[in-house]
Amino acid sequence: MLILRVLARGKANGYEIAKRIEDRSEDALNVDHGSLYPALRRMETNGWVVAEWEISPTNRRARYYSLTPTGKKQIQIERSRWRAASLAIARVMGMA
Amino acid sequence: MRFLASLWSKIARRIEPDPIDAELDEHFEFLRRERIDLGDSAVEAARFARHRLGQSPAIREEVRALSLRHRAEPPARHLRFAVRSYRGHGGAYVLATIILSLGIALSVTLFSLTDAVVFAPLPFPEQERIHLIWKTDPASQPHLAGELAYPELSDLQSNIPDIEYTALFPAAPYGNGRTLEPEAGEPVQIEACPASPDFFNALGVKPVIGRGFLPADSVAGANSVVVLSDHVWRRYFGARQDVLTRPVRINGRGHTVVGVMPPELDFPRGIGL
Repeated sequence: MLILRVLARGKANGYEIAKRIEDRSEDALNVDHGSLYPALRRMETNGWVVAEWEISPTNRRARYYSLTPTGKKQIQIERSRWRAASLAIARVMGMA
Repeated sequence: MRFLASLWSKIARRIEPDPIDAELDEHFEFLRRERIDLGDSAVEAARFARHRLGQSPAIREEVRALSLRHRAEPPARHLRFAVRSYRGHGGAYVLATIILSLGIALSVTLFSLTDAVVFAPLPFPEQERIHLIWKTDPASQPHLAGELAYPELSDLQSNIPDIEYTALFPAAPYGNGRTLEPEAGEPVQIEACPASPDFFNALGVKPVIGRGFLPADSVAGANSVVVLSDHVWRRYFGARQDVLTRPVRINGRGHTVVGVMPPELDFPRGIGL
């Protein structure tokens, strides 16, 4: 879901995705950058994202991921799913 | 074409090696440069980048496991196993296949026979009351079956009260083709079967148009009359309701159509007139 949200703002390569997730969560979500790739592959297989080699602003070749229309719809699905799950957890913990 | 192209690109992407190695190298490079820009030494930057990226061999392995090639492996393994064990004891497999196919063939034959005889009977309303009568000569060895002559048949009918109708048709009902000259088009050869007047009565079937044969039709010098099958009526008479009033030439002689049979009556099979 985090990756989908990042890509909703525009296409990005693996490094940029990792950086943006870190920035937005203010480093609270400190994951291995490498673990993004299996997730990206799964999303590619599901048809949520497509990837193409392009030249990065730093003039290096990098593989850029962008959302497909299916991927955009998926954001809505994931969001409502997340809302339901987090609400349930909050209730159990007596926070809502 | 666009669909084919997109399909091909999908397949090609799956088949060509996954670009994970190049991607991870790129990612590593981005991280390393980020640190160098912040003032780290080359060694420190590389160490940071490696750490930040995580267990790259494990990641590569995981990504590859998701690719199509990897998924295609189990079926390929099964196939190899099948071929190997076939080489080992192929004879037993062939034997089993033969036994199986014989068994299947036998049941299919039996069921189609049952279906034809029991479930799809002849197109006569009271099939069990119709009997085909032959005569045999007890003196001859082996007993040869022969056709009854028409007078013999009418003798049977008058002597046995249980017989309602008797009728005659040739034991070899085929080979009596007649040439029909339709109103339009070329003359055609149509399989025909001569029959005695009570033929349709004996079978218990009624024509959908007109009448069957009458005893008067069989008197010497009577007009030649013909009953059409549904197929002939549709194909050569355009399914016309007024077919009975139209002159028709068969074998060059004028005939009168007296009736048309329903489509389900196809007896003897393939007969048109």
